[in-house]
Amino acid sequence: MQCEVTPPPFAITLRAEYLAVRDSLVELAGFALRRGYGAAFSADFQIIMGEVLNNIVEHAYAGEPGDIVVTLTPHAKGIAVHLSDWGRPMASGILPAGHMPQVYPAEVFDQPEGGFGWAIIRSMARDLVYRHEVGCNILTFSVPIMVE
Amino acid sequence: MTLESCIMAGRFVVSVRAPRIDAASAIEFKEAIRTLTDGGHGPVMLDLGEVGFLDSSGLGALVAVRKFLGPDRPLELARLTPPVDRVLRLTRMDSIFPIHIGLPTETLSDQRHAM
Repeated sequence: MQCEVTPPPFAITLRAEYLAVRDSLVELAGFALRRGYGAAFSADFQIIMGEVLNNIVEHAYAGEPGDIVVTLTPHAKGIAVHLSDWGRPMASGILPAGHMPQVYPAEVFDQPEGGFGWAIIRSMARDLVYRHEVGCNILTFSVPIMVE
Repeated sequence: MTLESCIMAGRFVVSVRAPRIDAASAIEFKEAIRTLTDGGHGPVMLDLGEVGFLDSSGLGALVAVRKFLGPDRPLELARLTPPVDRVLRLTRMDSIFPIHIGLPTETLSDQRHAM
């Protein structure tokens, strides 16, 4: 990883639309690569960022137009992420536990199709914190290097 | 979502000519596979060699396709790129879909080695 004195944060604003999320993920993964985090971390980073951003599109904005602001702060052990949106607050104000859904190889026709998003987020993020204040949802977390 | 299909060594192989199966394209992907495989018989092998990104929406679409095909038509995956393989292993969905390193040939049966 590159050694720098206080690397500047990286911020983007995107429309809350799935195609805009897709474009932003390419940009965010590219940022991680340029900062020297490596291909494996950058691929994981793209996965978790996709899950949290798509959640905002689907649940916070639920089809309504709006913006999402993403701020990334690199640090020695990974990347700190700060997300802001102005959509609906999260129901109950508590983040989903995100247990990885049970997989049923023998009973694939009972296999749920959803529930993997939060499980993926929980497996890759640390220090996940959500708050809602003055009409704004704020989600912060860190994506550490060497995530299993 | 462009799909190409052919028969290889008796298997119906569907190659996905799209770089991403994600929230923006998962529904389109699911419908395109359904249209292509509807009324057919036998196992379906999805060649995902060009797909560099698959998210939870894409996973859900794979499960939906599997259910649509029914108990007599297994859905197998081939030529997974590392990010797609990563998501399938992370969610343990690699235990639902047989995974092949390559496409079927007349003489080889490509098996993914157990991790």
